[in-house]
Amino acid sequence: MIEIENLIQYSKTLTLLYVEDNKETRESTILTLENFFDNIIVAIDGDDGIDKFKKNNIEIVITDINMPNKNGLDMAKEIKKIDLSIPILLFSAHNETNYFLDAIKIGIEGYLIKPFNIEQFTQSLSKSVNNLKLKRENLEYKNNLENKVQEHLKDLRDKEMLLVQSSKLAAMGEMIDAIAHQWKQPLSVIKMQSEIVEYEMENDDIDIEYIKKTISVTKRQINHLVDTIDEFRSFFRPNNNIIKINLKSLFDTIELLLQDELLKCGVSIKNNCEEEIYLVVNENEIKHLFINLINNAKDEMVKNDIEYNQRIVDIKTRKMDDAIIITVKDNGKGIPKNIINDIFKPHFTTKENEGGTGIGLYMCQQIVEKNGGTIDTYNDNGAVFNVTLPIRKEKV
Amino acid sequence: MLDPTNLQDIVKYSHKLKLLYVEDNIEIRNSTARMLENFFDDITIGVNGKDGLEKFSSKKFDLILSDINMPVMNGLDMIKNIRAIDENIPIIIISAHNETNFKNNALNYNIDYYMIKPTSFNNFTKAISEVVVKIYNK
Repeated sequence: MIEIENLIQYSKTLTLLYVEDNKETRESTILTLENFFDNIIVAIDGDDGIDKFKKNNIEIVITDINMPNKNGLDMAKEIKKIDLSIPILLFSAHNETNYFLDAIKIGIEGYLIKPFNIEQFTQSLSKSVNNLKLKRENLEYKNNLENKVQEHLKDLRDKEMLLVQSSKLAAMGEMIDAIAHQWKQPLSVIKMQSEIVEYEMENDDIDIEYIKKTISVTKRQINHLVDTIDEFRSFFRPNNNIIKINLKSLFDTIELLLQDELLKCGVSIKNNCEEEIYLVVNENEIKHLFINLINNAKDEMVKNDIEYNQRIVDIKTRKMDDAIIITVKDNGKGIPKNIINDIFKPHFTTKENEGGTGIGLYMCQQIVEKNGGTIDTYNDNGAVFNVTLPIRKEKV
Repeated sequence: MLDPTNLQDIVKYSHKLKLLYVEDNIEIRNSTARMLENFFDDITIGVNGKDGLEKFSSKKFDLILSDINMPVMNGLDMIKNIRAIDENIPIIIISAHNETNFKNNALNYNIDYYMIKPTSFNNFTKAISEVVVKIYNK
């Protein structure tokens, strides 16, 4: 009895389509069915059944076979075409094998022989209801899983955003350090020159030639300050512009940006880019990418105490049919075999003691891949980084 | 005894001293040298640590003024080598850094005066005066 109670508890929630052409049979059967179903949609023949099926959210079908306009089997076949998973119970006065075979072919879930037999009915219904329960649980599980995956993806995206922010802040910090450092020299010169002129004037020692020289030196220093600031500022402006850039000029600019630091470390850049190679990319991102690679090369050569006149970063370009390969090579000791597969991972750094962020090469890879390219590395008397970028047409 | 507040006397004395000035940046070197001419008649220039070391070996100096951040050999390494030869020669260094860490490092080499960039005429005057007085009073 408990089983029937459970069955009814569940079946009550289902929407039933009951199809029967004979009025008396219909009305008496409905009385019984109402013990099992709260929501019964009634149809009087096969066509009406299809029509009502399409217009309502039917979850289970009980139908007679012999009906005018369209019999139960044909109706069942059509319903199965619309939704294969809807359980259909056939109510038949016939007990002939051909109906059984047809029913099995269509995929009917239950075959009930008239007159109505409550045990037979509950058994058949139980089976269908169990299947429906499983179907529902499955759907819930799938939705749950999809939600979990969405949540996880969002989480990953958020983390990626944070990494990007973090990398930008780190880059900004480094840049501000570099600006401060670069500015100290020209500011010193401007200050000294002005003070010397002031002192000499106070001592009636006016040297017009020296004053003229001071003015030109000062102007030169100021231009240097302005150039540096413009470069840094354009680097940080949110700039999603994809433009056509000349690679050789790009590396000239990068050299200008990094010159003081490079000089201090005794590192020089050999810009062996071919003259006429252009790329359609996000300029700031590509700059960021190569500044990173060059700084890494510089740090490695300093760390490994490479001889001063051997601290060279060599930049080369090569044009393929549909891509350009930019090669950045240093004269360091190369990347140790045991880490070369890990260096692009986020949070991987060899500069723990010097405050390495671990995001530099990871960001390089992100930038390259974002622009549709690839980056790879190997050793050849120093570390070599190959950046391959597709040749794109500039958007008009 | 030389009066540290009497700049005229200090300058009179300093003109007799032999200075070694080491700095890699050409513009800074030129403007600083011109300022130094108000204090010293005999100025020898080094363009980096290695050059400074060679010049140091070439004659007897009374004091050294040097930048720290230089290519080929930086100022501290140059001073380490100089101190190995001469423990006592007065040394003034000019640095772009302002970390206590760095200062302590410098103190290990017995530096007489530590200047931070950007420098000014006044800073130089103060530094040179102090060190020149020390030299005279010895």
